[in-house]
Amino acid sequence: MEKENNKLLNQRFQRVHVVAGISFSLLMYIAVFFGIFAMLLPYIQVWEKPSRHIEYMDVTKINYAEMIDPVIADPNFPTNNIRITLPGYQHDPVLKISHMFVEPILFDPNTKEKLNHEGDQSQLADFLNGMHYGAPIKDVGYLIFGFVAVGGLFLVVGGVILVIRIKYNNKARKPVSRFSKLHRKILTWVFPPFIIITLTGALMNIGYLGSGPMTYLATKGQTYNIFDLTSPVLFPEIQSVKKENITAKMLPIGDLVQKAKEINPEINFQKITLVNWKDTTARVKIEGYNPYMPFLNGISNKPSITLGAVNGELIMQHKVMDKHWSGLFLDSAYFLHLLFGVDTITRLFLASVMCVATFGLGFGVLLWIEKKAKKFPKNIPFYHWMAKLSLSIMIGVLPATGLIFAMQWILPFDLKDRFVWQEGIFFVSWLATLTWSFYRINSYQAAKEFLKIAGVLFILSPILHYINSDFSPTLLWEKALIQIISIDIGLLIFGILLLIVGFILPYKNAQVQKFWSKDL
Amino acid sequence: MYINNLYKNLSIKEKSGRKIGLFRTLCAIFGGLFVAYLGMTLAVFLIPTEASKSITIPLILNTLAWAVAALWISVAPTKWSALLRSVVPSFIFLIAISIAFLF
Repeated sequence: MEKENNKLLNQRFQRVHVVAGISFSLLMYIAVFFGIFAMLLPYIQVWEKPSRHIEYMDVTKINYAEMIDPVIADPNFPTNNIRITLPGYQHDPVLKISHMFVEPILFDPNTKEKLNHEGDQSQLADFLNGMHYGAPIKDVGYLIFGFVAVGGLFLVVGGVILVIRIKYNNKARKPVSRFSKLHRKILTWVFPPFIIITLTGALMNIGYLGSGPMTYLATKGQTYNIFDLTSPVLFPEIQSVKKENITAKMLPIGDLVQKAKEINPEINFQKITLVNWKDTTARVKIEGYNPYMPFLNGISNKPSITLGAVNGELIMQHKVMDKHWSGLFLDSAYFLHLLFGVDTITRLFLASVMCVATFGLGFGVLLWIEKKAKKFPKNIPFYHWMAKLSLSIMIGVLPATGLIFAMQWILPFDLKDRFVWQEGIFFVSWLATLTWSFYRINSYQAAKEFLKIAGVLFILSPILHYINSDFSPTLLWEKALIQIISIDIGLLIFGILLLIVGFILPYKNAQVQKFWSKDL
Repeated sequence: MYINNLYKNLSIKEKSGRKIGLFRTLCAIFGGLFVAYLGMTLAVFLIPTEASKSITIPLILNTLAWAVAALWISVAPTKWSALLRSVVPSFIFLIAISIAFLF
């Protein structure tokens, strides 16, 4: 009886995993695939814009007054709580002056002139980031991807239970067992970061949306809005200081940043808030990220130093561990997902982990399809709508993405509605891969074709970048624009890899069977 | 009589676990949501600090709790137990929350 019950339980665990897995797999793949590009967003957003092909400056050596004074002199510009985003934040070389109620103004800190930037004309990085959580279809997309994230959690927990409960055979040489083994091994290795990232993803897409009743009950009926409740703890407002209305001479902001650096050398400073600027009560709050304490700061918890702007005295210091534990908990949960201000090595490491995870998802789908195909004799070509749909979504997304990368430097920047064209071409070409995969009887052949086209497009995009931006690799190297040159190299390597895979992948059924039965 | 029949029908043990069925699916999705959401709301009261601080943990873990509860309900041995698994904890949490809310 006990044994019988156990068998049924195992069957159910397996069955729910398969059903949920195949229903969520493709959307999960989209989220993870574009998530990899979202992790590289800071570098892509610099690469994609001609206006950002400028050198990085040391934040303590910039003459801020030359840029800020003319902006503040405008009587329409608010003088309190002006925010300055320092060059280098998220690898953006520009200096941004912004305020809650006005359009941000960008400066090139090298020339100290207002930057003539592309604005909405160039949104490649934002678009790829948006695809990661369903932004192109707004609220519907957020909801769908939120539920997919919950499904992902369901699958990860269920999958781990399956691996613990069931003894799988790892020795068999058939494609089915090979796919099963790869799916299990890969996702067992990557599940710890995967589960944390999925958790915060679900929180951002549906967690806050559904938090009304919980907030209402928790506050005993005071409010439905979660942010009314948590913001005072997580994002406390800057204390307002009464103005004395006496104009005073301000210390140069560069000196104040230098002073803050001396007080706490561990922080990478990112943003400055000017309070009561030009008044005797003026102060600056300089905040940033402490890379020596990862997981504990960067999102809600920003270590900061508040200095008097007249004499440079220390008014307040907020260190990483000064935050209430609820903030530390939130930051540690979000850390791996948002990666604000995190260094390149961590980003690349996590991007490669997620790259491996896409293969894990892919092998899961292959396993399901192979099990369907097993029922047919080998000489009959297997044709299943799910196989074709997955082929188009998982492999077809590569040429479509390669195409928007190439389009970024083909389309002129003054083209009207440039981004609509780019986005449109992306979706149309992705749809084209769907029709092509249904047209080709042999899925492997179609996959090889997609990979080759994608490879060519990814190789072309850095070349087009050199031609149309007038920045040759040597010039980029001389100007130390490492971010941009690394994206070029990255695209090139990715393209070559895709081409190689496109050529070595077998496409005749007998070869395919042999390929997946080889010793790995 | 009707209730009795319903109970009999739902408590029949299925021979195979290879079919999940609509009943379990609905129990898992909606029952799981109720169990998780109410349990997490109760957790706000149980964590010994003000609501503005303690709510962070349940808020983050809410979706994970939903997934776990849905998994737990979907593998129940019978349909009846799947129903119980979704209703009983929700009910207990609801009463506990009402007490915490009122006093």
